[in-house]
Amino acid sequence: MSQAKNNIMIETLKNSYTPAIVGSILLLIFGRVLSKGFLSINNISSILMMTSILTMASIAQAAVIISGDSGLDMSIGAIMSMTALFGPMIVLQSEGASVAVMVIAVIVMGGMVGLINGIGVQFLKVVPLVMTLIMSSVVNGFSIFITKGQPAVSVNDALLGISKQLVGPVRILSAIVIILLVLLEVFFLRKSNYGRSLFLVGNNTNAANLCGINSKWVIIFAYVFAGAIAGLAGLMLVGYAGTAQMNMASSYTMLSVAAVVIGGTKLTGGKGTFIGGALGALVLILIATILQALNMVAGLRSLIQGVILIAILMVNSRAPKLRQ
Amino acid sequence: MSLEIKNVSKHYGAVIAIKEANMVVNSGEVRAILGGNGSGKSTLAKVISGLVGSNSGEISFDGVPLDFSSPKDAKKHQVIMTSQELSLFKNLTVEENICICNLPTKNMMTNRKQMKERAKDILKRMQLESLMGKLVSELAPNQQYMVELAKAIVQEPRILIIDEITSALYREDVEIVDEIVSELKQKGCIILFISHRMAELYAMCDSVTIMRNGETVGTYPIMDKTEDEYLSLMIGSKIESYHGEGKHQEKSKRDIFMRANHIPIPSYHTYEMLEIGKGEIIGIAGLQGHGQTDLLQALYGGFGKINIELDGKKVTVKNAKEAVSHGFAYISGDRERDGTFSERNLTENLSAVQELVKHKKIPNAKKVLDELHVKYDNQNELITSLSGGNQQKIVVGRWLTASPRIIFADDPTKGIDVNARTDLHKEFAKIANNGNAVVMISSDDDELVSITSMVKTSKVIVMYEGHISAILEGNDINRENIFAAAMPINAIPEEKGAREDDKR
Repeated sequence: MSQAKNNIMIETLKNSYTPAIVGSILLLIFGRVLSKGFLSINNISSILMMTSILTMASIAQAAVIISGDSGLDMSIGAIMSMTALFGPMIVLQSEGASVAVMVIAVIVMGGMVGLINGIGVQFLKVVPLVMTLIMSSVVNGFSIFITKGQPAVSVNDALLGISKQLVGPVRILSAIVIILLVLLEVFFLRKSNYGRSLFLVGNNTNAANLCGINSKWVIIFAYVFAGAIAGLAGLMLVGYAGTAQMNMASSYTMLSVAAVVIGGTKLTGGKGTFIGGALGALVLILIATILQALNMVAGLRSLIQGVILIAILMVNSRAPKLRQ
Repeated sequence: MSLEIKNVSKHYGAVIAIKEANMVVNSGEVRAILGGNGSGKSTLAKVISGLVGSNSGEISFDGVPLDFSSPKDAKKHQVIMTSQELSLFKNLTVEENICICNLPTKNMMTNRKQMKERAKDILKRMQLESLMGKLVSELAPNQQYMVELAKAIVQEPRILIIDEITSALYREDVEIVDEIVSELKQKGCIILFISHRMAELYAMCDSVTIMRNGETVGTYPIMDKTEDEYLSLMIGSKIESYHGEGKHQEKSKRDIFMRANHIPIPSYHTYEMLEIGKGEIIGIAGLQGHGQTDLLQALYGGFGKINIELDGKKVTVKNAKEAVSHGFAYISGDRERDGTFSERNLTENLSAVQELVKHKKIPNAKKVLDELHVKYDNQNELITSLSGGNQQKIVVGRWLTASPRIIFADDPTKGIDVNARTDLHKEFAKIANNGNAVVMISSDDDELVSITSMVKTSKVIVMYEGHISAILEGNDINRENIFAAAMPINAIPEEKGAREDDKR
């Protein structure tokens, strides 16, 4: 009996989700202690909203990190900012149709940037960190060039509605993201041939190549996928914010990396999940909300946020050793 | 003055590399060290030069025990080793490389003038002045080896270990080495010479120590014995666990399955041809690094497009994916680098080829694992939780499920236990007996003799410096013949032009 209990304990400790789940629960309790309104429906649903958008960014980041070869996408924030600016510019006769076209357009835009990233990394052999950082600056430059630095974006009601309206206690957008998350995790990452190849390529590119897997294209597609998802996340962000600014999503790049790592994905590639990234996103948003609830000055807030992040990442990178 | 090595042993984990090695070398003596693959000669060189520590035993020089904690420590005592794996910085110039161990300085900055003079001096002695100022990456392989030697000599060694350095050299280079060696000899330097080119050894060395399975078998004045006698000393008596010698089927007629007339061997800039028969097992033997791996990689599309004839039809193989579509399989002995997916479970490791590349289902993964006698807990455990032998069985199983027509295996049983080896041999024989083919490299000659006796058609090809030096069939397949072909007499290429001709 105690043996079985022990085994469950060990299994729980080994589970890569555990730190994020435990962290979220502790943060929720802490938030409730700090302020009574913390667990109100309103606050919870706005936490879920922000988590949803960061979750999308983390799904994008996770795909690239899993693809290995020191893969990292530092252009996610820039892609999101870009589609947040350009997405709402599409105006058709019906608002619903405009939103549908917007969705397709931002996916294509993001995917194109991802394709350039992937080609740069795989064919031009630029280190992913450098390639995607440069790409981020190119994308930002492009946005400023087109809008002349003065974005004039009016977000239409249909897009605003998606993030405002409630289905039960959850807003529509959060519900969509949760469904999308589970679908992508199960049918794209775990079940599809592509997802399985992605894990193998990320784990051992050499061995995957010898098996006849075309690892170059597998990795390039990971960047395209990341770009497309980030594009979609940008549209969600502008729908939630109601107005677009230059570089409005720049903080999402680092946050997405942090969320993915907190969720138990290895930075060395070949291992990881989208759901873990979502849990990591929840932890990060909870920390941000609590700091806000404490009425902290903006500068001090981001400073403390940074320190907490370093602490989490440190614990996380040592966790495998601690568990043994 | 003499170098004494007493009862030195070295093991890596359970693998014994040197077992109680003994030898005495006097000052001014050039000693050859001879032995086959894995006989421990390179390990001995590394122990003497302080690159690895020994587990027991004593090394003394001039009666003073030598116990180096690092190669730097060894260098202080002027024990220098030049190695097969070059120690040069390719992005630096020749003179920088030569002086790198002791850069002349002036006011804490490199004294370039003095450095150049010092390098020029030694390069002049080696008739290599033309190399001054060039980057090492611009040099041909043989020139790089000469620079490696120059770098060693500039440190004024009292003990110089030359490990396989001459294998990449041409005749005129070897003559220079010969001169340098006799110069050092007159100064009283002790030289340990590891090489497989017998002709060179006879020309340059005074005495020879034979190593076999990590032991020093004996030391003789070099002229005392003939080459054949040395070979038989290196081979020794048979290991009991293998059988097969004399049991091979006599040369039988084979149906040609695959033919490749122009297989590039990039390491040596040579080309070779190979014919594979239906149901055949081909063993590839030779000392390590003589182009065996290149041969297999090339056929698998590893060096770009290659034209072959398969079942009488002309086909090209551009990359691994195309190779797989023709029914080829590639099993590497370097599991961690080329085989396993360490973060993934058994099923994922097993299904990589059949499901992800060939897009077919594996109906019963458990049956495959059981047939290969894999010992495992459940299919969802990480592959790294299995022993090395079982991991390799999964890698082999990955290909067996895809029913390959030709298996290319590069030392597939390296570092796995005897039972797993036997299991893999049986699987390979089964594949060949079903009308397919297996081409297998092994650094263990006994293994090749044994596995080629398990099927009706078989041959062993022996490679030497990028060429096939012998093709053995039937009862010619034995350890003596393999060994003799792996170290042929007078096999030094005449001049630089000789290799250029091969390219055409």
